[in-house]
Amino acid sequence: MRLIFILPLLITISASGQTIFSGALFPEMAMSYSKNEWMVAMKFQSENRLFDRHLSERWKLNTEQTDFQSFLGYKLSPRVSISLGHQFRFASDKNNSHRSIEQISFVQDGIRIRVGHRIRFDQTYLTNTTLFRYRYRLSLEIPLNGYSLDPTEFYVLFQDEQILSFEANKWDLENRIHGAIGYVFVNSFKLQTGIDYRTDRYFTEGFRHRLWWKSGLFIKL
Amino acid sequence: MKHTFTIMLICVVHLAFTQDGKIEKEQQVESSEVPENAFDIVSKNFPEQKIKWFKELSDKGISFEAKFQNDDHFFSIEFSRDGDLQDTEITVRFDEVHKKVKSNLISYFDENYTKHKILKVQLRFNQPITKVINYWENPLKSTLLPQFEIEYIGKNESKNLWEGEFDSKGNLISKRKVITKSSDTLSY
Repeated sequence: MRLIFILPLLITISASGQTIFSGALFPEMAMSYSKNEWMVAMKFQSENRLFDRHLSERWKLNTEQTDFQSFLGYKLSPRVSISLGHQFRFASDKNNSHRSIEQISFVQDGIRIRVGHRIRFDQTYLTNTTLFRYRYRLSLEIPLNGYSLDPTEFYVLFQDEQILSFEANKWDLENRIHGAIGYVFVNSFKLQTGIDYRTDRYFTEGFRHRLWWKSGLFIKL
Repeated sequence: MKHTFTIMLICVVHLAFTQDGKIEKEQQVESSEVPENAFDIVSKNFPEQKIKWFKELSDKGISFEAKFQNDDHFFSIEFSRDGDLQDTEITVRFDEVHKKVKSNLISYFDENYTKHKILKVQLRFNQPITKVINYWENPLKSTLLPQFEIEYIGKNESKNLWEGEFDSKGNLISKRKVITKSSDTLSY
């Protein structure tokens, strides 16, 4: 938790050096199906860069990468689940890649708030090297009407994720802050839109600020 | 290709909607929208508390619920749409339950599950609020005997989330499996 308060300070310090600022649209769609303790999920997400102050001041929409993820999950208890996943990334620069994902997630139900903890490890297999990442994400889901999130109601979602990465003997840190508003049509169908603010390259050259407008559909079959 | 994707998306969304048509909704409302009788009972008995009113829509019909904190405990008082008192629920810690009842409850869990974890305990009263307040102030002097609504994780072949209703002695009346809400946005 303490890291969440330290990070804005780190951002301010790093922002005074040479920085890169970019903005992007990020549509996503996730579908899941569960039976007893088992669950399968598929997710599609696409990064579409809108502007990049480092490269050009001009606003131009470019699809940089599109990811297809699939997961097989198992519920250890009603609130704890483990998953194994795979991602295939289509990159615009042709550097397509595979990624393996392992995660454990916990959900806590409060009186008015749902708290999610996700610990994830992933390995991205690049042409000459492998990128290892260790991630922790804290999520808070708050219904805007009533004490529980019911169909035809709005909710807000706040997330903060820290990502420690290791590649070719170099460590780095990334932070992702996400704030979104969502609507539950029925229990199995949610629509969500919000802002994702990412900062990275804390320990390497070229500190980056990246801003994403992230919108997604979440469907449970 | 574009059309195929659009048609597939429409089919998936349609499937999601049709398999989940039941709507239960809790909506916060102004106190002016609450039946007068219900508002009077709550405001007279809990004048200091900050009351939040909710209208509940379910397949059973419409009801109104007053929710608030009192003595560091969460109170919920439910009324019919005409303002008749239905029940009062008070969330307590498991260690606050009377020793004898607690022992019966533990026996039930030990006999029926290989492992269990109690998540939420509520005392439930059907009596008038003044009697509930008397009980709350001095349970040992009160003749009221609350029922218990307990949310717990029980493990046998698999771990499930249950909501059990227990009588005042801690004997099971009924139980139902709780369907957990989708946590896709929190986990993926």
